[in-house]
Amino acid sequence: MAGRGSLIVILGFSIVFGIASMYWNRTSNQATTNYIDYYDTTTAYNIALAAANIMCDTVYFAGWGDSTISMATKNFAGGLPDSTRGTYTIKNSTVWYRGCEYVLAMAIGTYITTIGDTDRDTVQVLFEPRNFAGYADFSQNENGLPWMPGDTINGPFHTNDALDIDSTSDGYPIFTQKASSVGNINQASYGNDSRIFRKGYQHGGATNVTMPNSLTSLLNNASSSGTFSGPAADTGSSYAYDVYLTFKDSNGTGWVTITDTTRKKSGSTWISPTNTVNKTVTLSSLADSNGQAIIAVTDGDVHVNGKLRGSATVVANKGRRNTSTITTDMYFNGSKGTNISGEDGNVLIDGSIQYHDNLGNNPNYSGNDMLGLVGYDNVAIDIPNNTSGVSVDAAVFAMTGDWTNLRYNSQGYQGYIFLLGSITNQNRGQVQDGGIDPKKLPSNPGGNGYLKSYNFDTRFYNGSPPLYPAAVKPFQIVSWRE
Amino acid sequence: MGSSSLLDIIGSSIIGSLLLLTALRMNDTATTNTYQSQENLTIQQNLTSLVNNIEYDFRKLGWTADPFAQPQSDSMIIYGNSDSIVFIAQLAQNGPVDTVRWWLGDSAIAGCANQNVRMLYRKVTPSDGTAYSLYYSNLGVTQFNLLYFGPNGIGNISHPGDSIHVPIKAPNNVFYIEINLTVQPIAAYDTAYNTNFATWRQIRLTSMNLANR
Repeated sequence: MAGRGSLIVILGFSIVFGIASMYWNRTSNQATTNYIDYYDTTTAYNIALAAANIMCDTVYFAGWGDSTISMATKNFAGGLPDSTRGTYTIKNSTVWYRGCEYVLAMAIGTYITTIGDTDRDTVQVLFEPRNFAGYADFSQNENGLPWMPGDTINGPFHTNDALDIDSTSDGYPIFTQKASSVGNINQASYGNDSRIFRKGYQHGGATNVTMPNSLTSLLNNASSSGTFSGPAADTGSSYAYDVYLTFKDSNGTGWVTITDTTRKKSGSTWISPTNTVNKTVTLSSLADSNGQAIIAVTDGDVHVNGKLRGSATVVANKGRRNTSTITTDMYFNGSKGTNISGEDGNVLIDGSIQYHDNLGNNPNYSGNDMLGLVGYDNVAIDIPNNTSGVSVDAAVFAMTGDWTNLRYNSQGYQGYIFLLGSITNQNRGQVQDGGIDPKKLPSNPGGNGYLKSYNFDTRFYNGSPPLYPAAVKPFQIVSWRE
Repeated sequence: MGSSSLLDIIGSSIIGSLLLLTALRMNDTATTNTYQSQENLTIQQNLTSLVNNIEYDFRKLGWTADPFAQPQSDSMIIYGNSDSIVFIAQLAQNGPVDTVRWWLGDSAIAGCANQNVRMLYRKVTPSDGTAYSLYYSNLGVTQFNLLYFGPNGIGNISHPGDSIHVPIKAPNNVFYIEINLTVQPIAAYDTAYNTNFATWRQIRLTSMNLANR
């Protein structure tokens, strides 16, 4: 009896525990499955994220066009128990937004789960070449010109050259934002000087930022009404083509008066214009299909002044002329009529050029106007005599030349250049001859040219004038989607 | 019926009682385990569901397909507090730019056994003028805590490691967001809420767009 009872009890308990354990096991399995599902999707995401970082690293240093990045699917071993279960694929395409070209790259992470399912995740990154408007000052070559006490660069700074700092008993220059140079600094101790570099300095190995060697994309995007070319018949070294732009603000609308001039040389003298067209149009009438006003002079110089209302980029390109042999009445490096190479392709500022609502050279201007002055060669101040100074509200870009004052060493003291914007030039140019002594102000401080009052336009951190030139490389990330 | 029979009856009664007590105890333990394992499963599933939704939205913070529509760094996050956030994100690849709001209810849910639980809300307002969508879930959330940090995890210059004071006054100082989420059972066996919960913490869940400036 006792034996049978025990058996019944044992059997009863076994049945009860068996049923209960089935339920508990099922619950436990579901909890484990829930955890593993999350782990699998997270792993696929992590693979995609790692691939995106590999992709960014390669694109940043190599650019996309000549990158060595492989588009083929690759195994991803990092941290996984079985390296064949994780793979990533990188794809890219070119996309356009409002006339600007971008690279859209996608990193797809794939993970084969323990039960053989495939989990995928995608990270999508939009790249663009870094826009030069985002630099307060950029140069390919510093020309050995030192940054002096009194110079304040209150935005990002970069040079592909070495950096010269002139720190004297009068003080030192100040870089308020990050500064970098591909070459070394002339005195290593200055590189760690937080009084000079307020947001750090990266030197001797900073990434080379490659300037473009053509303005074709900018010219191609200009509308026909915004494109100006010299008469086809007037080619050769005996002709010079100039376009004069005076911006105006009237009745809430931005206007520009355009004087289109061809001059001819007779012997060594330039004679009266052979062709002049004068018209006043709204800025918007010059806009391209994306509503961006680009005023392009394909083969000459452009002269600008006035009050700009709206956004525009003015570009002067080298043209059909044999520019290496042109001799003009233009000043350069302080000498009149000097035989210079590349006379075409200059943007010449012949009077103050300001945003219509920027009153009193406000360094914190926050309006909507934006101007880009883009020269194949130089962007230069070309004012014979104006001792009251000059205001320039613009991002200036001199692709193969200088940001300079054409008469920097021959015209006496001219006052201040009040610049609000950014400066990019192939060669750092001069606006004075170094003989001006500010301590003598307001009396005549001596020397030639202008003192500088430059302020970075902080709106250029997130924007730029229409189609303003960007670096060939490195690329920078515009947006990131996970 | 002798004394031995009486002893048998008494002995078997004692043994039977012990067996009955064991069975009752086993039943109670089995019931407790059954409920707790079910509660554990439920809160884990609730947690992963919520986390998937949170990650989906927060990873797109500041992203727009059209780069010209991308908000400035000071307006990607419109409002940020310890238990609520409003930010700009284009949630759908080809959809409009959205204003996304996540927040935790501030009072207990009527009729909910666990009075620690709050409703977690998600509101998406498209910029194209179409109607907003409001989702709310009673999935046992007892904590939805957000901490905001600047570059390198520094939220407070005076006390590195501390988060930025909330509500945040300068959204462009935010580079990282720490998200803490705790889920408890809506109704727990024997009201054992404090011993039965699941927590998820994302130390640096943020959109790369926040740090991209």
